[in-house]
Amino acid sequence: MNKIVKFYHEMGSPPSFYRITGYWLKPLFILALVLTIYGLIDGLFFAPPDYQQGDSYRIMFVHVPAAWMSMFIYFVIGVCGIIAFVWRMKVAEAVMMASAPIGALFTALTLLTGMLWGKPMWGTYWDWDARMTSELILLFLYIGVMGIYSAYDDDPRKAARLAALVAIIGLINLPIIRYSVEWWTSIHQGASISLMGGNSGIKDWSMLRPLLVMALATKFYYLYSMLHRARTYLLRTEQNKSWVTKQIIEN
Amino acid sequence: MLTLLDMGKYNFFVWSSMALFGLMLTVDLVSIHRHRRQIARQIKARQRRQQS
Amino acid sequence: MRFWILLQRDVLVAWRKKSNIYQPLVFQLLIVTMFPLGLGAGAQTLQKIAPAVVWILALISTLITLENIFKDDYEDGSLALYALSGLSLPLAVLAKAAAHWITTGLPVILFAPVIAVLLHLPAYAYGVLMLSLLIATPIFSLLGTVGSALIMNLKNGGMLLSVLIMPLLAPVLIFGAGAVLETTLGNTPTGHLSLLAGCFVLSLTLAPIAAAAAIKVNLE
Repeated sequence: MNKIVKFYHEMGSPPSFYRITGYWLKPLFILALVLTIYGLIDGLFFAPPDYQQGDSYRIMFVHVPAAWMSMFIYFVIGVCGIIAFVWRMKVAEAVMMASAPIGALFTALTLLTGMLWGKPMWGTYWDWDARMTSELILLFLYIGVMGIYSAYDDDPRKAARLAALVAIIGLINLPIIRYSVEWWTSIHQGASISLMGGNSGIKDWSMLRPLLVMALATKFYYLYSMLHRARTYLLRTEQNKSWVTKQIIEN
Repeated sequence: MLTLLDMGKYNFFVWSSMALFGLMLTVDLVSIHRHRRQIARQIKARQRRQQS
Repeated sequence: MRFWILLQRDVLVAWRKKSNIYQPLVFQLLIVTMFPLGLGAGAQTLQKIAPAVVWILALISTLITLENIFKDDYEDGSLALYALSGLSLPLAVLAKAAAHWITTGLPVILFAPVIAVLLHLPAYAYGVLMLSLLIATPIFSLLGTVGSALIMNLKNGGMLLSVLIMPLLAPVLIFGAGAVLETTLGNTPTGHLSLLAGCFVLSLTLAPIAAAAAIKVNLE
């Protein structure tokens, strides 16, 4: 029990967090790279073509993991926002702001690959269905968090606190937005097929396996990106401390 | 080998999606390292100013 | 007691500068002119888009006034006085939101029929239009206080305010404009209006707390 408690406390202290996660960066990146290559090769070349959609369904191997990550990362940002706002934990602020850029990129990727999947499937690049619309609003939520942080450039701690507040407000709003957008599209029957409707019914293991591998790969990449950025964030905000000076001199 | 790469009439869509994925990861990687180098440079400059 | 004093003061200050009250309305008139200019003056097309456009114009014209809810008070230091006065900060925020609604929301509600006439909104939809705006404009003011509190000491906070507020306003727009749309289609708007009322209650209870938290962070 002591080891776990000790580890938890160490992760809360910026210099220990910096040191410990430094060891994880290379393994995470290599894992992410290997799994991505394996997943994409498996999905693009070895998975059989779909009965209805032919080869276009292979976009799913990029689109669906990106969508899962965009939602998961926002959830992480929200939770870190709560921790940062209530307990003023510096490491929580670092993790929160470090997750935002990669989360926004995944959201944009979801939207763009969704458009590229929509054209062959529905005949149109864009459709205001529940999932695409709420994904677009999610992008605005990410931009809001990053925007308010960068607006208060001169005071990083205040900026992080305000960004945490914005993240919490966004997190509370997320279910309301999802519900209202779904309700709105159920009334105005647009496209009846959702872009992500296919994956819940996948029973073919050779289609499911690459999807799960890509989902895992994106998680590892997220961790790599987030930890790397969080370390840089801590270097910046803790500039005056001696451990930062030592780190910079050593590198 | 080339037949494997051929996605039928969906060539453009599938390969653009993969290209976007690769582009996004590259952009993220480059931005991480560039940001880190910038912060390191700023801190070094501050240290030099403080020492002198 | 202090709630009413604050409310009175803000309404008086806004009333002194009448352009504050006219600005959103003139803005609506300008933009509503662009629709027929762009779409052609056909009554059919205008009637189709009327419910949405009236609503969106009410929303946008309120949006441009939100930036300044706390700016003046922050800059001359009276916001710090509110925070120190012992009056609960959420209550002060509520007074601010109420004052904003009286000086911006109410005129927008009263002016909406003018815009509706210009867009050929069918006569039987006017009641629902006014009712939906009546429930929604307080929500705009309340959410506006949250956004304004977050961007208080920024120079060009207006754009960021819109980015922050827009996701919060999406459900309000869906339910509000949807209510009017449903009425024009001949259906009952009760569902939409009830959900809109729910949004109102939610923002009435939570927005002052969020705005007060943001003010405290900004005053540090």
